[in-house]
Order: sequence, then structure tokens, then C-alpha cells
Amino acid sequence: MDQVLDILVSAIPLGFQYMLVGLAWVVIFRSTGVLNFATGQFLVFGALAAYTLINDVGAPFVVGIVLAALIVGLLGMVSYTALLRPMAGQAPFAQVIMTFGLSIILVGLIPIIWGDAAQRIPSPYENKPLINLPRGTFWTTVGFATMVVGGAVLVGILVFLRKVRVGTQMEAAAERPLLAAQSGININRLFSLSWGMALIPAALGGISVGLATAVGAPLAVLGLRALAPVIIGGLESIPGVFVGSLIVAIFESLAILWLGSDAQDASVFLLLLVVLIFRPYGIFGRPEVRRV
Amino acid sequence: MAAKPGYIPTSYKYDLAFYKTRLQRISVAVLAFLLLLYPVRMFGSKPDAFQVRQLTVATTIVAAIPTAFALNLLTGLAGQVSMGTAAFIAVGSFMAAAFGVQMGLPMIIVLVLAVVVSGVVGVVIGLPALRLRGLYLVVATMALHYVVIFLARKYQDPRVGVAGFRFKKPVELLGITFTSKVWYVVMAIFAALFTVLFVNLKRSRYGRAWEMIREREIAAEVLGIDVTRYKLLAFTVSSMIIGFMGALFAYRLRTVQVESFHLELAIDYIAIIIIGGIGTVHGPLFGTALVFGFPFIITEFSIRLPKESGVGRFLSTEIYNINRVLYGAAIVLFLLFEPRGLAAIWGRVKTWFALFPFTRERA
Repeated sequence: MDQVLDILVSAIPLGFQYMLVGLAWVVIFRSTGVLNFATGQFLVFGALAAYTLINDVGAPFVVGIVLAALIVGLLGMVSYTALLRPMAGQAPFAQVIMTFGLSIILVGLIPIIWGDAAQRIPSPYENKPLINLPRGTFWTTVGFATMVVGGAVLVGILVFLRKVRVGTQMEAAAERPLLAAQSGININRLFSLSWGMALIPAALGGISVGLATAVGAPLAVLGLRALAPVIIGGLESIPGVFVGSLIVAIFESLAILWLGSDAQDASVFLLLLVVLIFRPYGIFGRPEVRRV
Repeated sequence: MAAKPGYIPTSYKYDLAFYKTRLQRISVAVLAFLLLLYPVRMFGSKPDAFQVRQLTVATTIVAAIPTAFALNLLTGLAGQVSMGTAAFIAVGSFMAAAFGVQMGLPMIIVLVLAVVVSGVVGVVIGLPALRLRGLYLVVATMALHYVVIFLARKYQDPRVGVAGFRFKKPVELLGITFTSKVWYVVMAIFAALFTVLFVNLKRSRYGRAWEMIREREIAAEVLGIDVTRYKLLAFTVSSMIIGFMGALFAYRLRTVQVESFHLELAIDYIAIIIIGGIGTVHGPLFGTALVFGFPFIITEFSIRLPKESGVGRFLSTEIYNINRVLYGAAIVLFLLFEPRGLAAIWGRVKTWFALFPFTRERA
């Protein structure tokens, strides 16, 4: 039973990692209606950029992380403007294929820049049990930092979209692009901004993995696994992705405990498949209404 | 179809004809002759390493054509986007491993079993697809991919481990030993057969029903098309073809390992039909040639560059990744500038020649 408790405790930081990556899907889908299948490559890019900045360039720890996340955000804005904006109005499927094209370019580019070896981001802080919980369970430094940063990002995005002027404009542009544009909102700039804003948490999620273990090209599959909490949360709901992330993290941890570590991908995707079959609109979403 | 007055059908016989003009018939015959002659040129004499590589890539291309047509049927005609292609190839290959390698059944029986099992899996996948559409279906088939690969790994690991299943000797059928040249010819014949099948399905009542479902599902239903039945049929037919080709793939390479079935393989096939021209007959033909042929050309080019120079060394060590970048860029550029793919470019070229002296006035 202690083992299960241990799993549950350590699943919470994992859930925050999922949430950070999941937010990238949700924010982009809400604003531009695109599922960005290059999310995984962006998060690997961010983590490796942080590695280079801290290890090779010698940037201070926090500066390196912030800079890496901003680089990924900028890359996202450029990607949207160059590749997705010309596709506006086309079938959602065509836009998804565009993100596949983008992900394949990054799949080739990442090993050219960083090679094939997995890297661990160097940290001045020792990754040791930081906060002790009952019955010998604990959260590590990285785990606790992920929860703090993840919680701040979640609250930050919610406040930004509801209280800050640019954020509410973003919501308006997502809801009715035409009306928003007619009221003088520059929707292209906002959509591009939302891509940048969405990919920053994804990069942070990748960096969190890179600090705890190591980051290499195969980590990109985390980007795809993060679709499970997104779908469970209802695809458009930001609180939903938080709840979904915790569910997925606990489910995955238990599956690994009982079935072995190679069940990691399969368990999450099986959960995703089951949710899609029985409740495709998730917990927080509404059933899709089709108009004739 | 070129904008030429001569192509207006004036009789049912003409409308039903497989070849509309004598030129089409002749050009297909010439193409088939050249494609089949190609390995014959190398029979007898001992081929050098470059010729062996050529034959390998040519076989890869023709062997991919039926699978590309199967996906084009499902995605291009019926509009059901699937990222499960690699999973279905894996199902076919693992049937070959289970029945062919482990039980030692003859190839014909194994192929039949592979088709049947893939068809059943196709129906199972098709069922949730009845409830899901668009992006949800993309996500569901992607999830399915990982589940199938996990099951395949659970089957492979305790039996043979990472080495994978191996066929001890090459296929022998009707007294012919299947060498790589024979495989090329066999695959080319299958490619031709499935091309004809696709052409005929596309213009049959099934093809029209699928295209109707793709364009507007509710309208199709109102017109009396049994949407459930036709969608399931599209999934079943497509997965049967892909499973069949997957089993043949296993026999051709004489090895089955779960590691060969990446999600990227499924994306490759989506790229093939996008680059080629989605829903078209020419699309899978052009698409496979480009997606599998282009990296080959780049690779051959790079290994001929002097190794000492910086560029040559960079190209030869990073060639796999450079190919990925170029290939991703090709997808992006086609989507931006010619979303209807190579088939549309081919159509324009044909129109240009058909209207030759007056080609300045573009429609």
C-alpha cells in the first residue's frame, strides 16, 4: 500500500508536467482551432536550448531557462505566421498536416544541432528530496519547482485570458474572428501571440524533464501523450487540462507499477482511446453539435 | 482531365471505358514494359553495389504503392483521416511472424490469415470512427497506433527479443525462388493490380458514396447512402490491403521487428497522398516515387561528394536528418503552394501540351 501511496505522491509533479505540455495544445486549439502535432518537437527544442544556454554558453540557471522558453515561444510565433496563417480557412485536417510537416522538419533539425545523445540540464540545485511527506514519501527539488511554476503558469494564463485586455481580445478573436477583426482587433497578431504564449509552457515542461532525468529526441512522444489530459479535459478547457493531467499521471504511474515501464505510452494512449470512444467531448467539454 | 474538346463522353461505352484514348493505352503499356524490363537488364550479369541499391529503392517504391492507395481510399475518398497505417502494416507483418515463422504455415495460408485478421481489426477501429470525426479521428488512430505497437512488442519480446522474427529461407512458390529481382516484379504487379482496383472503385457506386460522405455526411445520409456501412467498408477494405502488404513486407525483408513500425511511417503515407494529390489516381504513384525516391537521390549524391571537404563530411554524416528536413519542407511547401499535389501539376502540364500553340491563355 505504501508503494501505491508513493506513486500517488510522485504522480502529482508528473501531472504538472503533463499540464504544462497540455496547455500548449489547449491554448493553440482555442485560438486557432489547430491541433499542433509539433508540440513534442517544440518541447524537446526548448529543453535542449536550455541545456546549451546553461552548459555551453554559461548563462545563469534561471536566465537560461527563461531565455530557452522565450526562444521556443518566438519559434512558435514565426511558425504560425509563416506556415499556419496562409492556411487559414482551409480544412482543419490540412492545417494538422501542416503541423506534421513542421514536426518532421524539427525532427531532422534537432539531431543536426544537438546530436543524438540525451542530455541532462545542469543545475546548481541538487535534485534531492526537498519536501518530506508522511510515510517516507517526498517531492524532489525539480518536482516541487515544477508544481510551483506549473501552478503559476496555469493561474497566469487564466488571469491573462480573463482580466488582461490583450487576453480578452484573444478570447474574442477565437470566438468570432470576423466580428473581432471588425471591432479593430488585429487577429493575426493575436493568433501569432497565442502560439508563442502556448509553446512557452511546453518548453518549461520539457525543461522540467531535462532537469529531473534527461532530454533527447525521443522525449517528443511526451508531447503526444499530453493529448490524453487535453482530450479528457475537453480540448478547450484550461481547468479541464489540469484535472485531466492529474488523472493521466496517476493512471500512467499505476500502469507502470503493475505492467512495467514499457507500458507508459500504451497505457496513456489506451486511456485516451477509451475516453474518445465513450466521452469524446471530455469531462469539461460540451457535446459537439452538428448543424445541417 | 485536360481541357480538350475531344474528351467529352458521347456514349456509355466511351464513358465506361478504362482507357479513354489510344494514347493512354499505349503509354500505360510502354510504362509497364519499361518498369518490368528494368530489373531484367540486371539479370545474368552480377549487379554492382549501386545497382543493388537502385533495385532496393525501386522495390520499396512499388511495394508502397498499394498501401498508399489503401490510405488514399480511406482518407482521400471516404475522408476518414487515419494515422493507423503503420499499425496495420505491423498487424500484417506480425501475422506473418506468428503464423509463418512461429507455426511454419505456408505463405498462401498466412497471407489469407493476415488479410482476415487485418480486416477484423479494421472493423474494430472503424466502430469508434463512426462516432468520431475530423481531428478526433486523427487522435484516436494515433492512440491506436501506440496500443497496437505495445501489443506487438509484448508478443515479440518474450519470444525473440530485439532481434525480431526471422524467416530462415527465402520464399519459394511454383518452383521460383524469390530473389530481390523476383520481388521487384511481384511488387510491381501488385502495384498495377491495386492501381486498377482503385481506379475502378473510385468510379463505382462505392467510390461515389465515399466521396459523398467525405463532402457532406448528412447530405449523403439524406440521399439514402448507408453511412455506417460505407464507412466501415472503407476501414475494412483499406486495412485488409494494408495488412496484406504488411505480410508481404515481412516475407520480402525476411524479418519482423516491432522497431520498424514508427508513427513516422504512418505520417510518411499521409505525406505521400498529400504530396501526390489527395483522392486522385495519380497521387499515390507520384507521391511514393517522390517520398521514397527523393531521399535516395540526395543520399547517392552525398556519398559521391569528397569526404575531405567540410560540406561532404557534413552531408554524409547527417544525411538521414537532412532528408527529414527536406521531406518536411516538401510537405510544407506543397500545402502552401499546391495543396492538390503533384497530380494537379501533372494536370496542368497535360493541359499545357494539349493546348500547345495557345498555351499563353491560361484558364
